[in-house]
Amino acid sequence: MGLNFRNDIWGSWSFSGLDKESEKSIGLSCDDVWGSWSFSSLDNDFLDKESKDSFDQELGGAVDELPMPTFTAIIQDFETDIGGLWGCESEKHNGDQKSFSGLNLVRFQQLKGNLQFDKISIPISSFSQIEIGNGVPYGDNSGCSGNVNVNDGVVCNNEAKEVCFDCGGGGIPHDALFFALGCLGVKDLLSVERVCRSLRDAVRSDPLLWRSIHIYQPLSSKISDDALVKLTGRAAGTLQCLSLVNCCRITDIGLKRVLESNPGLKKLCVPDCLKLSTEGILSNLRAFMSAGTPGIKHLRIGRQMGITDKQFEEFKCLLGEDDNMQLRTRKPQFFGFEHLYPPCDDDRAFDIESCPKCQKLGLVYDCPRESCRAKDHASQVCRGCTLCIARCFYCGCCLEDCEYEETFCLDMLCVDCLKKLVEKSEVCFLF
Amino acid sequence: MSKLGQAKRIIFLKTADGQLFEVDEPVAMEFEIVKSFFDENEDAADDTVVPLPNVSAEPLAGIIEFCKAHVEFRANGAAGKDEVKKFNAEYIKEKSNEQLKELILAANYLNIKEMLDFLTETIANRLKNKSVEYVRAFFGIENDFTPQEEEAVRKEYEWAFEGVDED
Repeated sequence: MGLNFRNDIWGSWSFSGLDKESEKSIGLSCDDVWGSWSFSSLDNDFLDKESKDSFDQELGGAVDELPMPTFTAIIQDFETDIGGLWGCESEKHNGDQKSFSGLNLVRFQQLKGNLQFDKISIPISSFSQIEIGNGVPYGDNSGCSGNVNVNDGVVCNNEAKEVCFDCGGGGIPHDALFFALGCLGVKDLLSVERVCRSLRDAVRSDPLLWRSIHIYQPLSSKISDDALVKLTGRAAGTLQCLSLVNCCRITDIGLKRVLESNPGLKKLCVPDCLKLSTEGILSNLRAFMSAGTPGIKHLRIGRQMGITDKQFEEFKCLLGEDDNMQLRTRKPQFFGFEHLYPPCDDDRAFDIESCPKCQKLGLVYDCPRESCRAKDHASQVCRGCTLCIARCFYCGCCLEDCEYEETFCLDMLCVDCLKKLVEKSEVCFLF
Repeated sequence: MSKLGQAKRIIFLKTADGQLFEVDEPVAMEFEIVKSFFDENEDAADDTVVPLPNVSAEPLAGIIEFCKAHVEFRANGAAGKDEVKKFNAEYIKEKSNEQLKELILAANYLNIKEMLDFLTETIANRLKNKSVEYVRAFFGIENDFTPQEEEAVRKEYEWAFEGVDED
């Protein structure tokens, strides 16, 4: 197998290493601006430690059958050899000791789904075109780029997502960081992407990181339709859960565009998005469901004003909600700042229901207070919309037999929460 | 494999730097890689030494400590309780970034899902709400963007960072 690097500035240079005929040798040739130079039989030590067969097999794409230490050792050898090699040869040919210093940095690193040769990134799926970034200082004219052609496919390993190599050296993010990306939210991912190239590429190229998108403060007031469409595009069609809390710039048309390009969406949570109308959400949902998608199974619309009985029935019908199932699996819903929009992790299909007390449609809350939850007579259950049962806006418990204060915004605050907030000195803005 | 009533079986693990660890079977079986080793070699002798060529002694010691505690928690029915959270918080408090990274790689290699989840979440928490400069400094990452690239990546989602407080 061989590696051929084509490079506009440097002419052509090629690795014809790992040749089946010439065991234990690498050939490397380079035509550069100073003429042509070539290396062959560079290092007899290379591959000494490993059998040639295993390396060939590995380069043929079967790396997952090899024990990892083998690969690591090869890579480390390769690094040393190539690094040393370029360093010494460049001095010989050019006389300028600095010119190739950067090449000592050639390093193989396995990132999420990418094989990285330090500055060279090879997407696992295609080996035909590879970019060399311009970070490697090639002599004085730093900043050259070109294409790399890899003939036989270098190391192709889909399992490699889970495998990391680090050949040492500072400045490059530790592989452990890439594991953590999965635990980060949208804002932190966007921030991490600005740190360095390998993190940027990792964040951008992994649709799985974007499968579930939650937008809340402080992004919610800033995100526009276009930005949302672009952001959800990163999931490459695999978006499953979209949660937009209080995104006051998102319109029905923006939502439509997102739904159109993400047919796999299962959960949609759009509470307090002021520019979304009930009718708009409904018609979006209608169009989405008729497109032959698996369909949205969970919908949260929060405090949408004026939902009619007819709309309510249609929502339920579109979501395929089964009344009996809803009662059986229903998790208690609590009002209040502390419980504000938990991730849509419960099984309910729809958050709107009819209040057991006034029969009006809206959000219905349970009481977090132990004594209220213990009551088992249906008529006494402390459950209802916010108009029927006044609740502390912080903890969500009912205010019966309980002292409370009214805040400047006319929210109720129970004495317990008031004390807690005073301790945390967060109370000043309320009055 | 061990049967009920037998003496506690000890599993021998050998690290990359040649240290031999003796681990109680239930703890060693937390490591998916060790478990599958014995699943595949059912007739392996009791004193078989399992080589762990990608793990060195220091992270392994930390992992054994963690898994041992969690095996005990599970045995006591304390899984998921405050006790566990407290232990985890204490455990992670004394770990430096470097140690944490080594632990993650080792836990990944040994394939211990519970621990890996916990560790990655810890790293993620250290990344959350941090500025780019802070992340670079904290994790020793070099900025390898060209000015043009950096500008491009900064511009792309500029709206998300307007009015963000500095650390």
